[in-house]
Amino acid sequence: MKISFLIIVTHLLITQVVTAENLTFEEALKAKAIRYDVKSETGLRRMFLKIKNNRKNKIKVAVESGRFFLEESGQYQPFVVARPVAIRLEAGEEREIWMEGYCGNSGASSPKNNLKFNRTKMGPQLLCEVLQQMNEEKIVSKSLYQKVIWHFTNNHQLASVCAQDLDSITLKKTIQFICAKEKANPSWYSIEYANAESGDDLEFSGIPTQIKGTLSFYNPQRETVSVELANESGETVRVIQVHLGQPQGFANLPLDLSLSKIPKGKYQVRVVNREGKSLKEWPLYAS
Amino acid sequence: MKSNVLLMLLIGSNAFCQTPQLPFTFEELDLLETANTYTTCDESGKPMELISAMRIEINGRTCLENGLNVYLPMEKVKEFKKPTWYRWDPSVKTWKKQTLPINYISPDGKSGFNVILKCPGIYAFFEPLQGSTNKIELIAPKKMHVVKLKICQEAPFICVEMKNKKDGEFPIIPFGELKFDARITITYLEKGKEKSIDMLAGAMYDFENASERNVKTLQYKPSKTQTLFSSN
Repeated sequence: MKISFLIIVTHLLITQVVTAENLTFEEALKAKAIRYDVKSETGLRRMFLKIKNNRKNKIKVAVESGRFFLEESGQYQPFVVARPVAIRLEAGEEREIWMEGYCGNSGASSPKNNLKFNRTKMGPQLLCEVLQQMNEEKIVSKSLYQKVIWHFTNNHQLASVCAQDLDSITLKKTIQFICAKEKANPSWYSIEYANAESGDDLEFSGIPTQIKGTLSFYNPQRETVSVELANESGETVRVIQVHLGQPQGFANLPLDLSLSKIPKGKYQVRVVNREGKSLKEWPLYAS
Repeated sequence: MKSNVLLMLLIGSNAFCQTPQLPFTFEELDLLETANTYTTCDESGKPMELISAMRIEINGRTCLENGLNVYLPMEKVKEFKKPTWYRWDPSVKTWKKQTLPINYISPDGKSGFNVILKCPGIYAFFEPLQGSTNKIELIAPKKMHVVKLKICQEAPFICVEMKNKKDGEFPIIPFGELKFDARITITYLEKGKEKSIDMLAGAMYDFENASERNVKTLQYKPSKTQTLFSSN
């Protein structure tokens, strides 16, 4: 009897010592279990988080993916957490952590040194779901995370969601997930942008440089066809490709178009036969 | 009133609006016409098969910064194993070989060849004649003074033109398989002036009674001008 009692008490003590209270950042804030401070540091492009446990017990705080940290003046980009981070804190402990923060507003300035980010909130629900899905897929492409975030925060076109450092299957899966959530069709092309002049990856240059895609259409008879770029008025501004004696039948033509010297705007890519008849058109937003 | 109406019509017709000018014009050329005009021989005079010909003219500058991508898809019936890319050099009146076409695979796995056009001129894809060692020799009376012989045919598009080097002697012309409807043009001198005779190969060579089509020695029927063709 005494031995059983001792075993039970020991178990309870051990349990109390080992188990930390699990809280999301949101829950911890609401319960006033934590106090935090976020600052920016240039060069490293990182978010510096100082977090203190106000409780007398151990806690484990999960900083959720999709959480925004906003700069106090509102002039600079908020930081966005793309991959969740779990922080274990002893009772009363304060820790300093470097976190990977992504840009939450492509139109705002990149943060300077030692700016304070004293407000926080969760981002749009769809963004959070997509980030969670990307985490589950174990995607590590920083470029893709940033482009996905800008798609939701700044309405960047879906065609901009692409990454060179990711296999095509995983990329396709991510885009399909976004399309399913947004009830939208995937884009037939992808668009790339120039790096910002500052060299800062958190800055968006807004200068489109390249379009890549596949033109799928049916050619009713064997003949030479050309691929043209037309402006909003329907006028041809560039002949991109010529396919000599394109066979009759279904065709998938590769498109790799440099946008240098093409003004920003709405365009149409079309496949035209020798008589000038358009066989198929695709919309293109060079912006 | 009338001038106001006219002005409105002009405005409505976009006469005042500047339409974008394309930096170049591209034209695919007729194969038979191209073969006839430029022949299908390389710099050394070796005949080739013409696959496709085109002309590009640049507006306002020498060459394009971003060239025009030209694709040659694989034909269903015949595969081009080694298409070569040539540009017509008008200064020396011959086809000059350019960089090799690049193999490309379309997204649906179909293969073809790709070149990038940047500078103006006339360009063509050629295929070397495969495995044929047929040659054609013209035998004509010395008094006829033949100065030129041209043989052009369709499908495959081959056109060869040779000049007489010695009086009464004519060089042996390398050629692929001669077809019944190949056009033969003989240019000869009569009283110092050049004259030409056009005829089909079928009128000069007995295709029906030839023992074998690919036999090296071919006998042509003499024409009214008493020319005799043979090939070996």
